[in-house]
Amino acid sequence: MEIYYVFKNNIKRSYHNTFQFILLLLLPAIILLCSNVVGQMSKPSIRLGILYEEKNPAYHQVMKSLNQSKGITFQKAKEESLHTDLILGTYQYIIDLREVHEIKNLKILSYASDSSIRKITNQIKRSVESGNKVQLSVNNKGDITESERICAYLFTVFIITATINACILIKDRKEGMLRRFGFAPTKIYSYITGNTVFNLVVAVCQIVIVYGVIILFHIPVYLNIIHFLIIMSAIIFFSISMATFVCSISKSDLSANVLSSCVALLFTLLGGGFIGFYKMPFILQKVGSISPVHWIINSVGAMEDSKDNLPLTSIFLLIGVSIVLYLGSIKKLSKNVQ
Amino acid sequence: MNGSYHMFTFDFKRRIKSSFTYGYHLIFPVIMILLLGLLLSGQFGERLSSFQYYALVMLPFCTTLAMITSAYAGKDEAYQKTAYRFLIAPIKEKDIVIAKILSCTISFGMCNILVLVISWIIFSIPMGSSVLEIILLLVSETFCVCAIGIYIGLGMKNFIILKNFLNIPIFICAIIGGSFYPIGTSNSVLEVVFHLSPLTWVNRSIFLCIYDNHSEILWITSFILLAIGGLFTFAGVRSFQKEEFLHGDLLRIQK
Amino acid sequence: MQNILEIRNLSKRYGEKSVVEDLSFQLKEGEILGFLGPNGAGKSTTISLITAIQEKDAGKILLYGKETERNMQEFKRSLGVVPQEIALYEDLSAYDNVDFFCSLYGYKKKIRKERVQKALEQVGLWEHRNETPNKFSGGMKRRLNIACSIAHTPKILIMDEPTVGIDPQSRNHILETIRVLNESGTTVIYVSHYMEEIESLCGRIILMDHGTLMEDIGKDALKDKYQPLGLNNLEEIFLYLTGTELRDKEEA
Repeated sequence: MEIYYVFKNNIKRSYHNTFQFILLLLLPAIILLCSNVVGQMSKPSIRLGILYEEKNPAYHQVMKSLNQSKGITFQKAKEESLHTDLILGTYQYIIDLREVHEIKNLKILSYASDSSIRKITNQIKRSVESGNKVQLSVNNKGDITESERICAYLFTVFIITATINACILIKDRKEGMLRRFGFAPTKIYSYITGNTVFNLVVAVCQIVIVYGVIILFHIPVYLNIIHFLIIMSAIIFFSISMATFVCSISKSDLSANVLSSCVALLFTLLGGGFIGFYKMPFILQKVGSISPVHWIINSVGAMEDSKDNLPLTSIFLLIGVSIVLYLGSIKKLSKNVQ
Repeated sequence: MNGSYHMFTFDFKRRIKSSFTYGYHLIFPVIMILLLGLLLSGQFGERLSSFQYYALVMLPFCTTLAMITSAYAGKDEAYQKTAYRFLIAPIKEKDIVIAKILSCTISFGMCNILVLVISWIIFSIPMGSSVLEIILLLVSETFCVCAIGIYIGLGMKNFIILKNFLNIPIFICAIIGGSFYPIGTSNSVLEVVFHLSPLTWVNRSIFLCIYDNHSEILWITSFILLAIGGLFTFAGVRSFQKEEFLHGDLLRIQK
Repeated sequence: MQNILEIRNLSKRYGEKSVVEDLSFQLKEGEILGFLGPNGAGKSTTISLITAIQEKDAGKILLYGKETERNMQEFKRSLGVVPQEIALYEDLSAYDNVDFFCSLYGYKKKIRKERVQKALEQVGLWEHRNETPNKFSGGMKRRLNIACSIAHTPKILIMDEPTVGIDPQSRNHILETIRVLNESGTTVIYVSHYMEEIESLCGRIILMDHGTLMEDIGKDALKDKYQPLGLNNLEEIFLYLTGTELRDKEEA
């Protein structure tokens, strides 16, 4: 019953901060939408820059081939910012025709590896010399799918929003509410569980909104609803437990938010949410294998492969770690009350 | 020696001794440079290593995180409940604002310069004579970001709500600015969006200065950052609210 | 005795509600003035207006006959305020706390060193100067709170309930400190709900309620005035003048 009272109390308290509460509910959906818009607009295409002089016959040959090509965008590169554009990704490669009059002497400028540059140079030369469209193959092996990327992003966002919600524990500890709760004939775990249940209800509302956005905007998440709910449940259990644990060990809400943001970022980076797991150096793969994001990405990948797949190991692992974190926070907060 | 000077030295010492200063502006950038450098070592070639790239883009990103720590620095006295003493002391409100901005700028700026110099040496970044210009850019960015942070901490009523969401626009600006991965687009609309991020300009200035020997953009960007910082300093002084400075708890003021 | 501080027609409104209305009184140099009033009377607001924490809607505040608005910095230099809430840096030593707050008044290091030592000795915390307030008892924190406000030797000291929540020994020490300060020339405005403290310390009393002045009179004269009504002590007089109904609204 105490759990219910604490939960009900938290709902009443959230009425005083309606703006923040609504923003928190909508945040995962907003981030999902933004990342999807950016992803759709910058669909895989190779961006080429060209350095040329108008009268150069080689330029016209190259343009003829490029105009027939699909998946390649090109424009005139600026000499004064040549290196910066290459480094910062404005162009992946620059075709340098400044002192070139024959295609066989064509130069490709890039900050990629020499082998990659040689490969691209040969592909362009072959295509242009034969007058065909340019076909460039970019190594996408090991990249994560859209569904995996979205779930990894949502994991990061849910940890941050769960921590914002869980900071109420720090506030109550500082203001003596926790102590007051300890004076009553109740156990401290009822208080923590009540807060956790509130956090859980908020997270469920966030997932409902996220799912609505996915359906409405046809976001490419290729999971059926059961799989989606399973993976989301695992994510929210983990994120809420972690948020509760972080708030139980932090002295202020600033340190809690900073800690959870850093941990979420590290998990995402090491788990392959940012760059394909198998593209990472071997040693980081070993370290990243303990990242919950890696388990989530593996689970989503397995579910995408087959509708009958249910990666129970990863899911149980997530739930198991969640339980350990939750018990840890109860122990820590009980000590605070004493 | 007037009270304002003592206020500045006191605040500076607090910032320097604060674990957030070390964490956010020394340890975090180094970890991110090493981690991302290692993670993406296969994505870069022989001319530019991943460590060199991330040493140059991580610093501006970590500098923007000073907005959060500065906002909290603005609220320090309210949370410590010592704000009352500052208001009854013979110190002008503008001195409080300026002392806070300067102490944050100098302490965070020093950390940034230290990380830059260490990265320069360890990763052999070909900065050459550009190092001073890059230091100027970073210090300008630090000043701008600290001024915005102090303005939020001292002047805004919605600090309690804002503080929870400050890191989200910062991370978005960092992603589209290329702080996590070199990001480019052929879509003209998206290109405009990318250029809205201040980090796009800062990162671009740095690379133009080092690799293309063009430092005009860097000087213009530094000047704009200083101007924005000055604007927010002025705004911070004008919008200084004694109630906000006194009370860290928004709800009490609302009542 | 000349007037060190003069309050003339001080007023403050929050919307429709008048919190301080046309308040006027003088503070004579060298006296200890008791400032009484129930919760919500407007005492804290009056103090906030005097110390310029809040802007007044009307009225003047004069220091030695000169308007404080014209030279606010000078006025603040002569003013010390002991806030009701303990205002200390928990992670700085007692010495550093007093030293820092004294430095805000523009004193050079050598002079400051002497003043800090004197302030800590006056409140009986010199032996604990290197300890941090988070290790202090409630009484010690209150005394340190006072030390931070007197280190710059103010001419006027406003004390807002400085003995709340402390044991009789600490209270006695604080009251003794106030007497010593007063004897050395500091004029004190003492706000308290403890009538026995007012009786033992103050020579003159101001009683405020609903934002207005009800009594501005010497302590003995006040007792003589209400004795015919059968009111023998300060508490009875206070309750008679302000009523016995509960004051549930907090002061603004």
